[in-house]
Amino acid sequence: MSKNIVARGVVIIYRGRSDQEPVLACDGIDLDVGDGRFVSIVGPSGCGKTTLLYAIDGLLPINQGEIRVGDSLITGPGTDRAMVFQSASLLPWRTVWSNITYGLKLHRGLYGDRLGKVDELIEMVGLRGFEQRYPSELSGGMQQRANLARALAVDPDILLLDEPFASVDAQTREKLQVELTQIWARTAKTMVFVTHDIAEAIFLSDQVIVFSARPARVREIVDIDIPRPRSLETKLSSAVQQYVKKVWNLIESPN
Amino acid sequence: MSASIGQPAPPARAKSAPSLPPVPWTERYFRLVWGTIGIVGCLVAWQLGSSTGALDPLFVSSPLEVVRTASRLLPSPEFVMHLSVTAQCLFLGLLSALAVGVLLGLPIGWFPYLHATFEPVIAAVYGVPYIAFLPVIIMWTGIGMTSRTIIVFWSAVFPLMINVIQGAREVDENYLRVGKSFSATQLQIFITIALPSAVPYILAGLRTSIGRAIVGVVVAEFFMSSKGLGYFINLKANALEMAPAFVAIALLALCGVALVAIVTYIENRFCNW
Repeated sequence: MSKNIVARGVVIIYRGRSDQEPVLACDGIDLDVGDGRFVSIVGPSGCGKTTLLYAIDGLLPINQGEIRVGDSLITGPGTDRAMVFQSASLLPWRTVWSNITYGLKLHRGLYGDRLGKVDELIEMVGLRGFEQRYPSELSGGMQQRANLARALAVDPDILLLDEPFASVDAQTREKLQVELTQIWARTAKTMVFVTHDIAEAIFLSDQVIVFSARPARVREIVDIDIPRPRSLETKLSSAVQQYVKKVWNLIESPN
Repeated sequence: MSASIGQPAPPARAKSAPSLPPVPWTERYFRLVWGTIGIVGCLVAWQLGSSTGALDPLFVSSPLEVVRTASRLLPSPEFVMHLSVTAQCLFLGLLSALAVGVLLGLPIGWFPYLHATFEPVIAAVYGVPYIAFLPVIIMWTGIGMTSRTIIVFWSAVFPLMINVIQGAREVDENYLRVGKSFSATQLQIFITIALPSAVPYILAGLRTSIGRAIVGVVVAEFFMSSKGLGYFINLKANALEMAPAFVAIALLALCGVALVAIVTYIENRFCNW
């Protein structure tokens, strides 16, 4: 069962270290992500996209407003949500297999039967044959496949993705984007995807949410009306280019 | 797969990578070759100095004399006893330093308030040369095996613990976030993330500690023993029997090399990520 995400008036003040000035990262964010939808958040770099994503995951406290998943208020991390982090988040001392099953092994009671499905998952993300490798032996693209599989392994209702393909080379990135849309279609999960790559956001999403520069506010919500399934050719189509131009202008224009 | 008629199969060598000239052995074993030259060179210089009379053989002995003496000493039960006393003391001291260093170091590094509390204490005690504690330890525990083991422990535990503390403090923020995101408990985060990421620091600390422990055991045996290699060196050198003293010194060097080799093995075997 998937769930929807509702954010109302979310204010996040972020303090890096105790001797640093607090920063207003998010200033009154309203957000609605429907059940099973694919929604991307784009905005100028450093605007607070990742901060909001962390707050949805429950990694950061919010100072005002509320975030709900389904009926429950978010107060901390939970097993209904899983995060695909940016690069360098695989535990380097664990093999690929052991990284992917990390979340499952933390909560054996909860996920007892899912260890059996890991093989299937490894097949789906294209890591067959790499199970016993260490992350340092993998390319950036392979690492992010493992990162994706680790989040999918706990079978969350909601998948949060924080610029997962940012440090992957351009060709691999396009391939991974197509595969992600297929995985999304197969697993029917609600996905929230943060990126600074506008074309990527449009290609993947049902809806693109454009944030303003810091402090982040919702500038515009753009519904992406492009039929699925989408392929690499879709990315070159004039419809996508129109959307890219539109979103680009929204990000670049003064507040 | 078969090539169709009329189309000859491409020659097999077309597919193999172009071969490079073989790497000369002087380059492949660069460090081994020059390292051997260094050691052999020193021994030859020592031997020449001694046998030409440039160095007084009474005081410096000579490598050949040391080897002769070693072949006589090593099988003797008395010498084996000295060796095993030192090895035992070293082993017990290092093992207890490892246990205490890890068990105290990890929580001190992990909990900021423990770190704030203990850092000044550790810095103060570490700053004092441990030899200064020798008379105190003798007063506490006498001059037996226990007190010598305590000296070895004392000399080894601080470099180790300081490394472990640093390891537990410098756990990558990204990894901790992964644990949190998967709803790991504090204990689970400590065990599955902090501990493994501190292992390289523990082994690095152990390396430093081995050297310090060997110094510790020799010093302890100089002052508070009638057994062990340290005692043996002291005894023989005072009697101007330099060759046996050098045999014992060479064995201490071997001990150090062997222990460091064990740590290196563990590193390669278990920290190959």
